[in-house]
Amino acid sequence: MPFEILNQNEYLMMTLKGDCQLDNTPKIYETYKEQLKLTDIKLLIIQCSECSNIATPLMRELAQIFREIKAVNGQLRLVAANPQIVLSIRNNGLDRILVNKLSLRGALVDFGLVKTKDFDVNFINPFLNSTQKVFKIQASMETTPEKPYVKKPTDPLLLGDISGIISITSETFTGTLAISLSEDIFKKISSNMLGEEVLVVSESNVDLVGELANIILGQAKLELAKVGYAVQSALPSCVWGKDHKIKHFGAGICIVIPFKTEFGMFYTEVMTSNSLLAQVPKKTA
Amino acid sequence: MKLHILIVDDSLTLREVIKRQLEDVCQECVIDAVFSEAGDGEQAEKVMQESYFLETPVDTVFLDWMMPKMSGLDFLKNLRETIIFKEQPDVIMLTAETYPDQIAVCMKYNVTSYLTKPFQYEDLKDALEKIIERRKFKYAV
Repeated sequence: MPFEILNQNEYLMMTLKGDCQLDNTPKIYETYKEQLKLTDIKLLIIQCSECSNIATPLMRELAQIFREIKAVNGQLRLVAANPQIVLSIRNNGLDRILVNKLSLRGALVDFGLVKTKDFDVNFINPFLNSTQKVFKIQASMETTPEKPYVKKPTDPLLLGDISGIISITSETFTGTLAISLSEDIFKKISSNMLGEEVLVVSESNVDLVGELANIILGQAKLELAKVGYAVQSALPSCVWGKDHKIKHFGAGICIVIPFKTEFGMFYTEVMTSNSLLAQVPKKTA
Repeated sequence: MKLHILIVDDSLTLREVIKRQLEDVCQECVIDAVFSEAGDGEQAEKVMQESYFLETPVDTVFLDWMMPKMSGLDFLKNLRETIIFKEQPDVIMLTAETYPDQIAVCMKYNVTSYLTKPFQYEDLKDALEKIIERRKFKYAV
Protein backbone atom coordinates (compact mmCIF):
# COMPACT_ATOMS: atom_id res chain seq x y z
CA MET A 1 0.00 0.00 0.00
CA PRO A 2 1.66 3.26 -1.05
CA PHE A 3 -0.20 5.25 1.59
CA GLU A 4 -1.70 4.85 5.05
CA ILE A 5 -3.81 7.01 7.32
CA LEU A 6 -3.34 7.01 11.07
CA ASN A 7 -5.35 8.82 13.70
CA GLN A 8 -2.94 10.78 15.92
CA ASN A 9 -5.75 11.95 18.26
CA GLU A 10 -5.47 15.65 17.41
CA TYR A 11 -4.82 15.25 13.70
CA LEU A 12 -4.85 12.63 10.96
CA MET A 13 -1.54 11.60 9.44
CA MET A 14 -1.53 10.35 5.87
CA THR A 15 1.86 8.89 4.91
CA LEU A 16 2.68 8.62 1.22
CA LYS A 17 5.34 6.14 0.16
CA GLY A 18 7.43 5.72 -2.98
CA ASP A 19 6.37 6.91 -6.42
CA CYS A 20 2.69 7.83 -5.97
CA GLN A 21 0.78 7.50 -9.23
CA LEU A 22 -3.01 7.39 -9.48
CA ASP A 23 -2.99 3.77 -10.65
CA ASN A 24 -0.86 2.52 -7.77
CA THR A 25 -2.45 4.79 -5.15
CA PRO A 26 -6.14 4.16 -5.75
CA LYS A 27 -8.98 5.35 -3.56
CA ILE A 28 -6.95 7.84 -1.58
CA TYR A 29 -9.91 10.21 -1.50
CA GLU A 30 -12.38 7.44 -0.62
CA THR A 31 -10.11 6.10 2.13
CA TYR A 32 -9.86 9.57 3.64
CA LYS A 33 -13.65 9.94 3.52
CA GLU A 34 -14.02 6.54 5.22
CA GLN A 35 -11.65 7.68 7.95
CA LEU A 36 -13.67 10.86 8.43
CA LYS A 37 -16.74 8.79 9.21
CA LEU A 38 -14.89 7.40 12.24
CA THR A 39 -13.72 10.71 13.63
CA ASP A 40 -14.46 14.41 13.61
CA ILE A 41 -10.81 15.46 13.28
CA LYS A 42 -10.44 18.24 10.73
CA LEU A 43 -6.65 18.51 10.63
CA LEU A 44 -4.72 16.45 8.09
CA ILE A 45 -0.97 16.07 7.67
CA ILE A 46 0.33 14.44 4.52
CA GLN A 47 3.76 13.10 5.38
CA CYS A 48 5.89 13.02 2.22
CA SER A 49 9.35 12.19 3.59
CA GLU A 50 9.17 8.66 2.12
CA CYS A 51 7.55 9.76 -1.14
CA SER A 52 9.66 10.36 -4.25
CA ASN A 53 6.94 11.68 -6.53
CA ILE A 54 3.25 12.62 -6.56
CA ALA A 55 1.67 12.34 -10.00
CA THR A 56 -0.54 15.21 -11.13
CA PRO A 57 -3.88 13.27 -11.07
CA LEU A 58 -3.13 12.21 -7.51
CA MET A 59 -2.22 15.78 -6.62
CA ARG A 60 -5.68 16.80 -7.82
CA GLU A 61 -7.23 14.18 -5.51
CA LEU A 62 -5.31 15.73 -2.63
CA ALA A 63 -6.62 19.14 -3.67
CA GLN A 64 -10.13 17.67 -3.54
CA ILE A 65 -9.46 16.46 0.01
CA PHE A 66 -8.27 19.99 0.85
CA ARG A 67 -11.55 21.45 -0.39
CA GLU A 68 -13.52 19.01 1.77
CA ILE A 69 -11.44 19.94 4.80
CA LYS A 70 -11.69 23.65 4.14
CA ALA A 71 -15.49 23.38 3.87
CA VAL A 72 -15.55 22.28 7.52
CA ASN A 73 -12.94 24.86 8.64
CA GLY A 74 -10.16 22.28 8.85
CA GLN A 75 -6.57 22.50 7.67
CA LEU A 76 -4.20 20.43 5.56
CA ARG A 77 -0.40 20.55 5.38
CA LEU A 78 2.18 18.56 3.50
CA VAL A 79 5.34 17.76 5.44
CA ALA A 80 8.85 17.15 4.09
CA ALA A 81 7.92 17.07 0.40
CA ASN A 82 11.06 16.93 -1.75
CA PRO A 83 11.94 19.85 -4.08
CA GLN A 84 10.63 17.96 -7.12
CA ILE A 85 7.20 17.51 -5.54
CA VAL A 86 7.11 21.15 -4.38
CA LEU A 87 7.96 22.31 -7.91
CA SER A 88 5.32 20.05 -9.39
CA ILE A 89 2.70 21.43 -6.97
CA ARG A 90 3.67 24.97 -7.99
CA ASN A 91 3.55 24.11 -11.71
CA ASN A 92 0.02 22.76 -11.21
CA GLY A 93 -1.00 25.98 -9.48
CA LEU A 94 -1.80 24.12 -6.25
CA ASP A 95 0.81 25.70 -3.99
CA ARG A 96 -1.77 27.74 -2.07
CA ILE A 97 -3.77 24.61 -1.38
CA LEU A 98 -1.06 22.02 -0.79
CA VAL A 99 1.21 23.99 1.53
CA ASN A 100 4.45 22.18 2.38
CA LYS A 101 6.25 22.50 5.72
CA LEU A 102 9.80 21.31 6.25
CA SER A 103 9.02 19.66 9.56
CA LEU A 104 6.10 18.10 11.39
CA ARG A 105 6.55 20.69 14.10
CA GLY A 106 6.11 23.47 11.53
CA ALA A 107 2.77 21.95 10.48
CA LEU A 108 1.64 21.51 14.09
CA VAL A 109 2.46 25.17 14.76
CA ASP A 110 0.24 26.11 11.79
CA PHE A 111 -2.55 23.97 13.25
CA GLY A 112 -2.17 25.71 16.61
CA LEU A 113 -1.34 22.41 18.31
CA VAL A 114 2.15 23.60 19.24
CA LYS A 115 3.01 27.16 20.14
CA THR A 116 6.04 28.66 18.43
CA LYS A 117 7.26 29.81 21.78
CA ASP A 118 6.88 26.51 23.57
CA PHE A 119 10.25 25.16 24.48
CA ASP A 120 10.66 21.50 23.80
CA VAL A 121 12.97 19.67 26.20
CA ASN A 122 13.69 17.20 23.41
CA PHE A 123 15.56 20.08 21.84
CA ILE A 124 18.48 19.91 24.28
CA ASN A 125 19.26 16.19 24.22
CA PRO A 126 20.53 16.16 20.62
CA PHE A 127 23.12 18.81 21.51
CA LEU A 128 24.14 16.93 24.62
CA ASN A 129 24.52 13.63 22.75
CA SER A 130 26.29 15.12 19.76
CA THR A 131 28.80 17.03 21.91
CA GLN A 132 29.72 13.79 23.69
CA LYS A 133 29.97 11.91 20.39
CA VAL A 134 32.09 14.53 18.63
CA PHE A 135 34.52 14.91 21.52
CA LYS A 136 34.91 11.15 21.76
CA ILE A 137 35.34 10.38 18.06
CA GLN A 138 37.08 13.48 16.77
CA ALA A 139 39.08 14.54 19.80
CA SER A 140 39.50 11.23 21.67
CA MET A 141 38.18 12.83 24.85
CA GLU A 142 35.62 11.31 27.21
CA THR A 143 33.07 13.77 28.57
CA THR A 144 30.35 13.58 31.21
CA PRO A 145 27.40 15.95 30.89
CA GLU A 146 26.11 17.72 33.98
CA LYS A 147 22.63 19.14 34.54
CA PRO A 148 21.72 21.80 31.96
CA TYR A 149 20.57 25.16 33.27
CA VAL A 150 19.19 28.43 32.01
CA LYS A 151 21.84 31.13 31.92
CA LYS A 152 20.78 34.08 34.04
CA PRO A 153 21.69 37.68 33.22
CA THR A 154 23.81 37.67 36.38
CA ASP A 155 25.81 34.60 35.32
CA PRO A 156 29.27 35.36 33.95
CA LEU A 157 29.29 35.93 30.22
CA LEU A 158 32.64 34.32 30.02
CA LEU A 159 32.75 30.59 30.66
CA GLY A 160 35.80 29.47 28.72
CA ASP A 161 38.87 31.01 27.07
CA ILE A 162 38.05 29.97 23.51
CA SER A 163 34.61 29.72 21.94
CA GLY A 164 33.22 28.52 18.63
CA ILE A 165 29.85 29.93 17.59
CA ILE A 166 27.43 28.96 14.83
CA SER A 167 23.96 30.25 14.01
CA ILE A 168 20.95 27.94 13.73
CA THR A 169 17.77 28.60 11.79
CA SER A 170 14.61 26.57 11.44
CA GLU A 171 10.95 27.11 10.65
CA THR A 172 10.02 27.64 14.28
CA PHE A 173 13.04 29.30 15.86
CA THR A 174 16.41 30.92 15.31
CA GLY A 175 19.33 30.64 17.63
CA THR A 176 22.99 30.02 18.23
CA LEU A 177 25.14 27.11 19.30
CA ALA A 178 28.41 27.88 21.10
CA ILE A 179 31.03 25.73 22.70
CA SER A 180 33.38 27.34 25.15
CA LEU A 181 36.62 25.68 26.25
CA SER A 182 39.48 26.41 28.59
CA GLU A 183 42.93 26.75 27.01
CA ASP A 184 43.98 23.48 28.64
CA ILE A 185 41.15 21.50 27.08
CA PHE A 186 41.68 23.18 23.72
CA LYS A 187 45.38 22.28 23.74
CA LYS A 188 44.58 18.69 24.73
CA ILE A 189 41.98 18.33 21.96
CA SER A 190 44.31 19.85 19.36
CA SER A 191 47.11 17.56 20.49
CA ASN A 192 44.88 14.49 20.26
CA MET A 193 43.68 15.43 16.80
CA LEU A 194 47.05 16.41 15.35
CA GLY A 195 48.99 13.62 17.00
CA GLU A 196 51.58 15.99 18.46
CA GLU A 197 51.66 18.17 21.53
CA VAL A 198 50.13 21.60 20.96
CA LEU A 199 51.55 24.08 23.47
CA VAL A 200 50.03 27.39 22.38
CA VAL A 201 46.70 28.75 21.25
CA SER A 202 47.24 30.85 18.13
CA GLU A 203 45.51 32.33 15.10
CA SER A 204 46.63 29.30 13.13
CA ASN A 205 44.90 26.67 15.27
CA VAL A 206 42.00 28.45 17.01
CA ASP A 207 39.71 27.80 14.03
CA LEU A 208 39.38 24.24 15.30
CA VAL A 209 36.86 25.25 17.96
CA GLY A 210 34.54 26.74 15.29
CA GLU A 211 34.84 23.54 13.31
CA LEU A 212 33.94 21.50 16.39
CA ALA A 213 30.81 23.63 16.88
CA ASN A 214 29.94 22.98 13.23
CA ILE A 215 30.41 19.23 13.60
CA ILE A 216 28.37 19.15 16.84
CA LEU A 217 25.51 20.95 15.11
CA GLY A 218 25.78 18.61 12.11
CA GLN A 219 25.30 15.59 14.36
CA ALA A 220 22.58 17.27 16.43
CA LYS A 221 20.63 18.05 13.24
CA LEU A 222 20.03 14.36 12.62
CA GLU A 223 18.49 13.85 16.06
CA LEU A 224 16.62 17.15 15.90
CA ALA A 225 15.01 16.04 12.63
CA LYS A 226 13.63 12.97 14.42
CA VAL A 227 11.85 15.16 16.98
CA GLY A 228 10.44 17.48 14.36
CA TYR A 229 13.03 20.24 13.84
CA ALA A 230 14.50 20.82 10.40
CA VAL A 231 17.58 22.91 11.10
CA GLN A 232 19.86 24.87 8.79
CA SER A 233 23.35 25.88 9.82
CA ALA A 234 25.75 28.61 8.72
CA LEU A 235 29.50 29.21 8.80
CA PRO A 236 30.99 29.06 12.30
CA SER A 237 33.16 31.73 13.86
CA CYS A 238 35.65 31.72 16.73
CA VAL A 239 36.26 34.06 19.63
CA TRP A 240 39.16 33.68 21.99
CA GLY A 241 41.22 35.45 24.62
CA LYS A 242 40.99 35.72 28.37
CA ASP A 243 38.36 38.50 28.28
CA HIS A 244 36.25 37.34 25.36
CA LYS A 245 32.47 37.25 25.51
CA ILE A 246 30.20 34.79 23.78
CA LYS A 247 27.98 36.96 21.66
CA HIS A 248 24.97 34.98 20.55
CA PHE A 249 23.13 36.10 17.44
CA GLY A 250 19.79 37.66 18.29
CA ALA A 251 18.09 37.70 21.66
CA GLY A 252 16.59 34.87 23.63
CA ILE A 253 17.19 32.53 26.49
CA CYS A 254 20.39 30.60 26.71
CA ILE A 255 20.69 27.05 28.01
CA VAL A 256 24.08 25.91 29.22
CA ILE A 257 25.12 22.25 29.21
CA PRO A 258 28.26 21.82 31.33
CA PHE A 259 30.58 18.91 30.52
CA LYS A 260 33.14 17.45 32.85
CA THR A 261 36.42 16.09 31.46
CA GLU A 262 39.69 14.87 32.92
CA PHE A 263 41.11 18.29 32.07
CA GLY A 264 38.34 20.43 33.56
CA MET A 265 34.93 21.73 32.53
CA PHE A 266 33.73 23.02 29.20
CA TYR A 267 30.32 24.29 28.11
CA THR A 268 27.91 23.92 25.23
CA GLU A 269 25.47 26.83 25.06
CA VAL A 270 22.28 26.82 23.02
CA MET A 271 20.47 30.12 22.64
CA THR A 272 17.02 30.11 21.07
CA SER A 273 14.73 32.96 20.18
CA ASN A 274 12.02 31.24 22.26
CA SER A 275 11.31 32.55 25.70
CA LEU A 276 9.51 29.77 27.56
CA LEU A 277 12.20 27.54 28.96
CA ALA A 278 10.44 26.68 32.18
CA GLN A 279 10.76 22.96 31.52
CA VAL A 280 14.54 23.07 31.68
CA PRO A 281 15.86 22.11 35.11
CA LYS A 282 17.05 24.97 37.27
CA LYS A 283 20.79 25.30 37.90
CA THR A 284 21.85 23.28 40.88
CA ALA A 285 24.21 24.66 43.50
CA MET B 1 51.07 4.70 -8.88
CA LYS B 2 51.15 8.09 -7.24
CA LEU B 3 48.19 10.05 -5.89
CA HIS B 4 47.73 13.80 -5.87
CA ILE B 5 45.27 14.52 -3.08
CA LEU B 6 43.61 17.90 -2.72
CA ILE B 7 42.15 18.66 0.73
CA VAL B 8 39.50 21.39 0.66
CA ASP B 9 38.31 22.66 4.05
CA ASP B 10 37.98 26.14 5.50
CA SER B 11 39.57 25.06 8.77
CA LEU B 12 43.35 25.21 8.47
CA THR B 13 43.80 22.96 11.50
CA LEU B 14 41.35 20.37 10.26
CA ARG B 15 43.13 20.30 6.87
CA GLU B 16 46.30 19.49 8.77
CA VAL B 17 44.51 16.76 10.76
CA ILE B 18 43.11 15.21 7.56
CA LYS B 19 46.47 15.46 5.79
CA ARG B 20 48.34 13.74 8.60
CA GLN B 21 45.86 10.91 8.75
CA LEU B 22 45.92 10.48 4.96
CA GLU B 23 49.72 10.42 5.01
CA ASP B 24 49.48 7.54 7.48
CA VAL B 25 46.92 5.77 5.28
CA CYS B 26 49.18 6.13 2.23
CA GLN B 27 52.12 4.84 4.21
CA GLU B 28 50.08 1.85 5.37
CA CYS B 29 48.93 1.14 1.82
CA VAL B 30 52.47 1.69 0.45
CA ILE B 31 51.30 4.40 -1.95
CA ASP B 32 53.16 7.58 -2.88
CA ALA B 33 51.09 10.74 -2.53
CA VAL B 34 51.52 14.48 -2.84
CA PHE B 35 49.10 16.84 -1.13
CA SER B 36 47.60 20.20 -2.00
CA GLU B 37 45.23 22.27 0.12
CA ALA B 38 42.53 24.87 -0.41
CA GLY B 39 40.40 26.86 2.05
CA ASP B 40 37.32 27.24 -0.17
CA GLY B 41 35.85 26.24 -3.52
CA GLU B 42 37.43 29.12 -5.42
CA GLN B 43 40.91 28.26 -4.20
CA ALA B 44 40.23 24.62 -4.97
CA GLU B 45 39.34 25.45 -8.60
CA LYS B 46 42.59 27.38 -8.92
CA VAL B 47 44.60 24.47 -7.53
CA MET B 48 42.83 22.07 -9.89
CA GLN B 49 43.56 24.24 -12.91
CA GLU B 50 47.21 24.76 -11.98
CA SER B 51 47.73 21.08 -11.25
CA TYR B 52 46.52 20.20 -14.74
CA PHE B 53 49.95 21.09 -16.09
CA LEU B 54 51.82 19.04 -13.49
CA GLU B 55 53.17 15.58 -14.01
CA THR B 56 50.65 14.35 -11.44
CA PRO B 57 47.42 16.39 -11.66
CA VAL B 58 44.98 16.31 -8.75
CA ASP B 59 43.19 12.97 -8.94
CA THR B 60 41.54 12.76 -5.50
CA VAL B 61 39.65 15.47 -3.64
CA PHE B 62 38.57 15.44 0.01
CA LEU B 63 35.87 18.10 0.04
CA ASP B 64 34.12 20.02 2.81
CA TRP B 65 30.65 21.42 2.04
CA MET B 66 30.12 24.58 4.07
CA MET B 67 32.86 27.06 3.13
CA PRO B 68 33.06 30.80 2.44
CA LYS B 69 33.22 32.25 -1.11
CA MET B 70 32.35 28.99 -2.89
CA SER B 71 30.77 25.98 -1.19
CA GLY B 72 31.92 22.43 -1.71
CA LEU B 73 28.73 21.63 -3.59
CA ASP B 74 29.23 24.51 -6.04
CA PHE B 75 32.83 23.45 -6.57
CA LEU B 76 31.67 19.89 -7.21
CA LYS B 77 29.02 21.03 -9.71
CA ASN B 78 31.56 23.16 -11.57
CA LEU B 79 34.06 20.34 -11.52
CA ARG B 80 31.61 17.86 -12.99
CA GLU B 81 29.84 20.17 -15.42
CA THR B 82 32.27 22.83 -16.51
CA ILE B 83 35.88 21.96 -16.08
CA ILE B 84 37.04 19.36 -18.55
CA PHE B 85 39.82 17.08 -17.42
CA LYS B 86 41.20 14.08 -19.18
CA GLU B 87 40.00 12.11 -16.18
CA GLN B 88 37.60 13.40 -13.57
CA PRO B 89 39.09 13.20 -10.08
CA ASP B 90 37.54 11.06 -7.37
CA VAL B 91 35.72 13.26 -4.87
CA ILE B 92 35.19 12.22 -1.26
CA MET B 93 32.82 14.50 0.62
CA LEU B 94 34.04 15.07 4.18
CA THR B 95 31.50 17.32 5.79
CA ALA B 96 29.36 18.09 8.85
CA GLU B 97 26.26 18.19 6.61
CA THR B 98 24.28 15.09 7.53
CA TYR B 99 20.79 15.26 5.99
CA PRO B 100 19.96 12.38 3.60
CA ASP B 101 18.81 14.80 0.89
CA GLN B 102 22.22 16.53 1.02
CA ILE B 103 23.94 13.19 0.57
CA ALA B 104 21.60 12.39 -2.34
CA VAL B 105 22.48 15.69 -4.06
CA CYS B 106 26.19 14.92 -3.88
CA MET B 107 25.66 11.38 -5.13
CA LYS B 108 24.06 12.90 -8.23
CA TYR B 109 27.42 14.51 -8.92
CA ASN B 110 29.17 11.20 -8.71
CA VAL B 111 31.06 11.39 -5.44
CA THR B 112 33.07 8.32 -4.59
CA SER B 113 32.24 8.41 -0.87
CA TYR B 114 30.29 10.64 1.48
CA LEU B 115 31.92 10.85 4.91
CA THR B 116 30.39 12.82 7.73
CA LYS B 117 32.29 14.56 10.49
CA PRO B 118 33.26 13.48 13.10
CA PHE B 119 35.48 11.07 11.21
CA GLN B 120 38.01 8.48 12.25
CA TYR B 121 41.22 7.25 10.66
CA GLU B 122 39.38 4.11 9.52
CA ASP B 123 36.82 6.19 7.60
CA LEU B 124 39.55 7.93 5.60
CA LYS B 125 41.37 4.64 5.10
CA ASP B 126 38.29 2.84 3.76
CA ALA B 127 37.50 5.69 1.36
CA LEU B 128 41.06 5.95 0.05
CA GLU B 129 41.53 2.18 -0.21
CA LYS B 130 38.45 1.96 -2.40
CA ILE B 131 40.07 4.41 -4.82
CA ILE B 132 43.46 2.75 -4.69
CA GLU B 133 42.02 -0.70 -5.37
CA ARG B 134 40.02 0.56 -8.33
CA ARG B 135 43.01 2.30 -9.84
CA LYS B 136 45.28 -0.68 -9.31
CA PHE B 137 42.74 -2.78 -11.18
CA LYS B 138 42.49 -0.20 -13.95
CA TYR B 139 46.27 0.01 -14.41
CA ALA B 140 46.52 -3.79 -14.35
CA VAL B 141 43.99 -4.03 -17.17
